[in-house]
Amino acid sequence: MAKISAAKKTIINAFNMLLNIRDQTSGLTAAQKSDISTALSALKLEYVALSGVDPNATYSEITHALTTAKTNLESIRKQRNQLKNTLTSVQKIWGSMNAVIGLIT
Amino acid sequence: MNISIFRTAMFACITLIACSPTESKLEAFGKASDAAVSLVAIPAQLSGSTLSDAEVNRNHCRYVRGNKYELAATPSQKPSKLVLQQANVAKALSAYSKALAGALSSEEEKALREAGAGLAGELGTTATTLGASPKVPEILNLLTSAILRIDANRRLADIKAEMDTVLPYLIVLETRLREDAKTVDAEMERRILDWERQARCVLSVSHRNDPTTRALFLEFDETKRKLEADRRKASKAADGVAKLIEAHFVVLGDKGTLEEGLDILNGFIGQIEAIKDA
Repeated sequence: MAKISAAKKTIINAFNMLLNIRDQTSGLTAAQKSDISTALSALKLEYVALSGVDPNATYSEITHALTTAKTNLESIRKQRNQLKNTLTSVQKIWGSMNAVIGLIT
Repeated sequence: MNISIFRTAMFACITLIACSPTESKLEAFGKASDAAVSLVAIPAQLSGSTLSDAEVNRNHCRYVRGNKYELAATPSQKPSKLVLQQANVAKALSAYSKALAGALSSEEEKALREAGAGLAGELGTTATTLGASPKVPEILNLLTSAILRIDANRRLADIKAEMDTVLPYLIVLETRLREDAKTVDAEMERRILDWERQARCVLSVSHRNDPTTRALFLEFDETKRKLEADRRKASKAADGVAKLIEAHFVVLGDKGTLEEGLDILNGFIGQIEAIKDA
């Protein structure tokens, strides 16, 4: 597992470097541009292979993966809001306790 | 890893406060990702609308030629399964992008930090009332913000994990869209041709010099133009998804914060509009 995520990281880094060259370098020749685009495509396919996703995944499988990720992202957001609400209500309770402590000390 | 130029631009943008406020960034992200998604959804919409339009015109023609009035039949043909499946992906992609933008919301991150600071303030008051060193409130505040920063980092890691799961599927989607582009385009071409045949029939049974015929003529003309434009846009669906893929790679490779993640996505996805109009 560790090896796979390290390999993925390498691909991500290489991909971003190529993107940077493609988008930030002026005066690239057509041949250079096409080389970069070929390399980017190869890296993408490699990423699919490393992820263990079927390169022939169907539209329904893609839809399913997107929907699952959507649900998980929504719950990440929900947890953040719950944490915020908890902090706010603890703050309120503590505030009223402070008033009492102020009276008895 | 060096995406320095892009990052520098982002930081300049943040420090100068030249950029739009966060909520409108979220909105911009929503709009731009909808733009990408709409490209994928075009064939199904085009198929659906031309099929029913053609049926209505066919029925009209039949009537003008002297047949009895009847309600137009529901089109016997349907958009192909392929096109409908693509429309489903488009829907899921739209929901995913919206959830992603929501998870990256910097407004909500800020509200959380403020709630933390508020609690730290109350705890600090207790401590000083009970005779603790005046340093204690400050330490509590630092501690709370440190905990919340760890929490935000964990959240970013979670969000990235979701993006990492989705990324290979987006790559497969791009490939599929490219492979299926010809088939889908041929279907749109057939639909437009059939629509046109029925439109021509309606025109042919109308009086050429009648002013309403001119209005009808112009309407068909405009629709035809729009259908062809939509067909051209639909051919760029894979390019739109390719931009989404690039945005995922950049966010996954970046070591920045949640807020910057949203900026990066926006920077890339803004390019989809350009693809659409090209």
